[in-house]
Amino acid sequence: MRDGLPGYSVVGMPDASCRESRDRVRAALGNSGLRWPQRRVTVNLAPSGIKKQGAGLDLPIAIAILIADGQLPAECVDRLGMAGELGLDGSIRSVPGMIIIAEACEGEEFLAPTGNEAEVALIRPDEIRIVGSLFELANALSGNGAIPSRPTPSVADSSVPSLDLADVRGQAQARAALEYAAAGGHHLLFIGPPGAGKTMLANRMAALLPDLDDVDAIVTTRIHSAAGIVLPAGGLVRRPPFRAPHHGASTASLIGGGGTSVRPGEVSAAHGGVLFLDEFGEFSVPVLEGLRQPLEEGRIRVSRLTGPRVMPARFQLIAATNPCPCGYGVSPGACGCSDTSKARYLRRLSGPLIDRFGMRVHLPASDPAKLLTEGTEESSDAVAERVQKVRAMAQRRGFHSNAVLSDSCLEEVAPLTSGARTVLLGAMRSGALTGRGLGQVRRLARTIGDLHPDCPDVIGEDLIYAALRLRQPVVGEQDR
Amino acid sequence: MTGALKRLTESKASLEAALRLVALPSLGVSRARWLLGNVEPPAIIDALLRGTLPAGLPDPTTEVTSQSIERWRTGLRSQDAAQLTARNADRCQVIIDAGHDAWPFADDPDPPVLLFVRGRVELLTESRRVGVVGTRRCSAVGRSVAGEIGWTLAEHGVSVVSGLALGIDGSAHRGAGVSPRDPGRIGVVASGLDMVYPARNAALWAGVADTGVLISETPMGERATRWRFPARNRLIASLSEVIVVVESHQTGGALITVDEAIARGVEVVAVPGSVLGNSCKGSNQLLMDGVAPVRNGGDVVSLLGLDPRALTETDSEQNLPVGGLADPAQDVLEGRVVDALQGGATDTDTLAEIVGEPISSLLSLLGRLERANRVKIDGSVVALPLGEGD
Repeated sequence: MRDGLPGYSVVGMPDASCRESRDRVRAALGNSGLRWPQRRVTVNLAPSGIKKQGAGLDLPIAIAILIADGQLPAECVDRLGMAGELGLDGSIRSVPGMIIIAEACEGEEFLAPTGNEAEVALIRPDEIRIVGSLFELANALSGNGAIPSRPTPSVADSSVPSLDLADVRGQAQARAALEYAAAGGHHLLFIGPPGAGKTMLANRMAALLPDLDDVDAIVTTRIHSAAGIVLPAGGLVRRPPFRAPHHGASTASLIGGGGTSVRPGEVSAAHGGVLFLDEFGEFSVPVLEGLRQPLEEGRIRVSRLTGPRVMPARFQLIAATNPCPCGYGVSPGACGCSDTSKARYLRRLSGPLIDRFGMRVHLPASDPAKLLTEGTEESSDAVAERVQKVRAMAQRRGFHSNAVLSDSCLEEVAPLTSGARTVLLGAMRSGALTGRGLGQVRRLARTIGDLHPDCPDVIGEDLIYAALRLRQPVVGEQDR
Repeated sequence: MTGALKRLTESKASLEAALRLVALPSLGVSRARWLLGNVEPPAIIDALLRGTLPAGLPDPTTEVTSQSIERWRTGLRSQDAAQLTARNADRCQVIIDAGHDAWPFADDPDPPVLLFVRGRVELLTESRRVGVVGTRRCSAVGRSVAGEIGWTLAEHGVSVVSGLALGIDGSAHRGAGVSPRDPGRIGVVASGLDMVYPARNAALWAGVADTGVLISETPMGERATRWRFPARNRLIASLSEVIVVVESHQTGGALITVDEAIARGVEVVAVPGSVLGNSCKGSNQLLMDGVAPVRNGGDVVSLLGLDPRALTETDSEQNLPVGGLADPAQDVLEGRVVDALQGGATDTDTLAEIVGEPISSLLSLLGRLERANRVKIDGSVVALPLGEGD
């Protein structure tokens, strides 16, 4: 701050919203009973080599100005971090990504705006203070009042999406598959004619999943914050994300990328939740093949200008496709596609990719009679309750879900009867099952068993048969 | 046949020389037999490399031109003998000649010189064997019929002999592989045993070698030249008690198998096909020419003198889970499902409604029935297999 004509400039690579802080800070000071210095103000955002963005710097800028102007003592901000956007009325507003900023201020006390408390309360709750207005804060810092509250324990964001499974008529097999997928975290591929309800079912998937645990909630919030995805009210991503990119998506948008700053892609945004790829067969082949690494490892490695980045990407894949170019597939008499064009259509989906789906389910065309009658289908809540139970069982086994049970754990929690062993051997001998498929079938059988009222400890033939039946060939083996 | 062919695998030198000869794409089987029947193998190689025929050969049945000798000479020169020998010393295969106990071609008019075998060699002589052959470009019906015939044969303990090609061949073997009573399939291929062709059938190829036997008269490392495919067909005919033609085009490779079978006195039967379908023209012509028709695996089994009903009676007993009794409720449900399907194909959801069963237990049952070939499921459509609906 120096003498001269009153003025204000910001240096250090601010973006537009950062530069506009001037007007907000000035109005906020005025409306909080504080004085705007009648001198020339230069705000330097160091280090100057990095781009600054967002309105979160309003609050620190305002406090810095007050200190430089002598309205607040300099010591009052020792070992104190803060961020927040200022309203013209002097209120402090929440900003996205607060969780990342708060984490960066490790070891210091941190001031966060009301509205972000749920997200920051998860990390270091003892060092976090929540402030609602500049007036209140300035008073506290000048020693005239205490810095207000610690954050209240986080209120879970329970805004469950309103889509209900009861809206989907018929499709009993596909509903069962969806329930198994939700309960066990298995990847699921729907194959069916247009209008059968593939997309409707998949859209209802997120509502079936239980809330994320604290670790996942923080990781997912960070990713969403970095990807610029609007965070839910409260700031913390508590509900498992449901991401449904369009089939025109590029490889970079799906797996992550960009120039100097690597942005997380859809696979990362879906971390802990569901990645839904509608019209699976219409995605470009490189995009689809790019899914193989994250599906296998639960994370994605992206190499860009600034070097390689590893981002979490543990998602559950739900995909839907038509059985052939015309879409009507095996429905008698409805499909006009030749065997060859059918095979070509689905051959875009490579064997290894298909093999990663624990379930492949064909849907029949929906029954017109059912669409017009009052449905008696189960609601999402009822299903979600069972799903929750099975997820909890998987967690007691030490894993996120049954789909990621380790091989050694599998022997322990899902031992096979000798009959089941014979069935599996037969399936492998006939070439219907790969090594990876074998593990998937056993895990899926465990999930089906967990959902069964008897909840058997040992996996019998029936469970194996059911699991095998849900791995339907995408095209006839001979057509490939 | 002279005794010399029975001793080819006895000494390392003669095996190596014989390997080099049968690996030549330009040398047919009858020529190889003619050369190897009278002269020590290493001497043949020496002579041919000099561009002459070895001394002591009987008169050839057809004249040997100097171009042929030149082609053999060039072929031998470009061979990497050490590599060929090393590759064929693979532990996965055994090489047998006419002196071997399990040599199946003792009475054959046109036997191979060496046979490369992977898997259970005893199947070649001990089991009952039926060849199922047909076109690669078959209809969906043909595919399903071939699968059913393969399965039924295997259920009755008969080995299915086929060529591991796409279409009918593969379907027959896949069908047989599903049966828990499969005595072991016999795959007769035209290329070396390590050169999978067509690549799409790699899993089937490995499956047959694993539980049955895979044979070829081509050494490892050699691709199948054109003439080896019809030559392979004669081995299928020679190994089989009966040849079943499921679908064949007007001039299909399956018809070569038929000719070879007739030449050997092996019975030939054919499955009637649509009179409009191109893929059935050859097989339907066989029926017109007087070959007996068969409709399904049961017909083939009767032809072998086995009782096709004997199986269905003991079937449910043999399907018992190990160490447990059949669940009577399961049988009742199975009956209801089959009854429902008698009315025509339907989808899983509708089926669950008709039989009034929750989807999870129906999935188990359908999985079980599908494995046992009691139902066919294509996409969402569930149906009884052909021949059970009527």
